[in-house]
Amino acid sequence: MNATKSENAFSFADTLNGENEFDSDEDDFESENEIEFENEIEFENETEFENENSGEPAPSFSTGKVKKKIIEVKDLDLWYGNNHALKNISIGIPKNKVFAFIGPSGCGKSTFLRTMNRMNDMISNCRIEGEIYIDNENIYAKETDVNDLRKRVGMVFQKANPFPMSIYDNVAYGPRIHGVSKKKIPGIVEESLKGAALWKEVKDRLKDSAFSLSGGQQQRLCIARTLAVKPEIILFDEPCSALDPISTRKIEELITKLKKEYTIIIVTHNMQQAARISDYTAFFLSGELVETGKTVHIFENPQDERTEGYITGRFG
Amino acid sequence: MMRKSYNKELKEMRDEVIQMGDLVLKIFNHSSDTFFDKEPVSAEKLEKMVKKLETIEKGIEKMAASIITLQQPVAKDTREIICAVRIAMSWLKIGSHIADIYEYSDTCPEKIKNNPRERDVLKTIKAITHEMLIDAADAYKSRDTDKASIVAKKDDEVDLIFEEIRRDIIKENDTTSFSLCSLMIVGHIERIGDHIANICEDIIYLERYEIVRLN
Ligand SMILES: Nc1ncnc2c1ncn2[C@@H]1O[C@H](COP(=O)(O)OP(=O)(O)OP(=O)(O)O)[C@@H](O)[C@H]1O
Ligand SMILES: [Mg+2]
Repeated sequence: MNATKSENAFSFADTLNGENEFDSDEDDFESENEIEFENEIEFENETEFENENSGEPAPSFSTGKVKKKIIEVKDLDLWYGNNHALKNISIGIPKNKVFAFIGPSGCGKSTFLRTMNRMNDMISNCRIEGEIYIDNENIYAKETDVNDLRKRVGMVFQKANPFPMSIYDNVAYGPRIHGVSKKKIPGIVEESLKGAALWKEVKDRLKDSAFSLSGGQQQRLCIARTLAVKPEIILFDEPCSALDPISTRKIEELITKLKKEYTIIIVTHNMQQAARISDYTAFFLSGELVETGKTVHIFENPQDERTEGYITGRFG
Repeated sequence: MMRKSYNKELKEMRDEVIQMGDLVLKIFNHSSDTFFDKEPVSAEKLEKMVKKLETIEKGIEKMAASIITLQQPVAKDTREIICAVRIAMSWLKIGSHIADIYEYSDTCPEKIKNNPRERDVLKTIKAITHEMLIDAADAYKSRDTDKASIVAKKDDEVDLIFEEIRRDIIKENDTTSFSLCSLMIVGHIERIGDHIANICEDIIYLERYEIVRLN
């Protein structure tokens, strides 16, 4: 209880100091206009899915004509014991885009997300069939180095989970265990905190405990921690569900910015959030991929009535 | 069972649009009676009906704004709202064109009666318009996109008659108030036809997510 209060006091104090959360990162953030402009250009140039109709699975594995996807999932099945949790999933994830996974609770979104960095390996009764290629390499092949995979595919969870150490050490942790030389670490920490739009808020208190940060700041710290090991892909599992609207917007803006350098997959229960930030959306139901396509198609004119039922809130 | 009040609000908005269509038909019937029948409708009564049309239209706008703000509609629901606002606007404009036509009833009817040819043309165009209004209102009610495409086609007939009268006047260089009166009336009817076609386009967009140009 007390912790919550002092967190609020922190962000309030920041506001009083004139550190408006949205303005505070002008160094590392492009202005909103710039972002919009870039999106427009991107839209015009976006030819890779020209023929794509939201009715078809967007980025299909075998179609040679579409631009290469960074992740290709082919006929993936997953069981927890007898529970067939993912059923014959095939999908391609394009590089440098935000891909949203939506669907009702228990449909398998988190499970699917975890297959991409083999987090399900740790679950004892979990069995997987099918293939997932990242940069043309089957991550379920015997020779795959799982530690290296998890470095390439970072993950941010629903509940911010900073380590019980200082802000600085949280971010430095990954590079250190991956054997990055001591000299390089301060630079990586600063760069990662800037990348996560947190630098200005914490640069004078890097030695403070990570728990002294607000929930939204902790979540950005976890993003910074992920960025510090320089992944290619970042998986977000409901990263904003515990955050207030301002922190949520901040994370959303951050994700929009991060896609220039990273490929992003986000699981969200917030339809407006999926619509706001993602380029592509996939709708899952009972372990099946029901429909996938450009986000604007999924939200304006879904082809499957189950998708329509879900996004309009008439599901069930 | 999901989103009961949301569904109810959308339905209420649709019902208001339907009500506008019905009211426009009433306005049309009353004011055309003034031209062709013995019992002319009073100007006040017509004005009242047009006022009511305006009130409903404003109400639909308000409902749309509040549903968008509070319910964040997506997919077909978004089109439902956009089209309700657009169609309500079309009905309102149609209503006001009919009211404009009514203004001529002070000066025109005697002359129309004396010229059987013009009288016939006006009766024909009245019948076409009447049918289009009924069918457009019906197509919205029953979400019938085929009907919507057919209704919009009839607009061509109105355009032809309008052209014919216009050419007639120019050719004969006959600027008697009688023909001019017909021209003015048919000019309004021509605009009404355009608005009906817009309504039909909206119905098709709403149901099929296709943007079509019907006239
Ligand atoms: N570790 C596990 N062991 C056994 N079964 C699991 C495990 N994790 C998930 N499941 C089961 O797999 C199915 C999919 O669960 P998952 O957590 O992927 O759903 P989700 O779409 O992420 O749901 P939510 O939106 O509630 O997070 C569910 O039936 C769930 O009970
Ligand atoms: Mg989950």
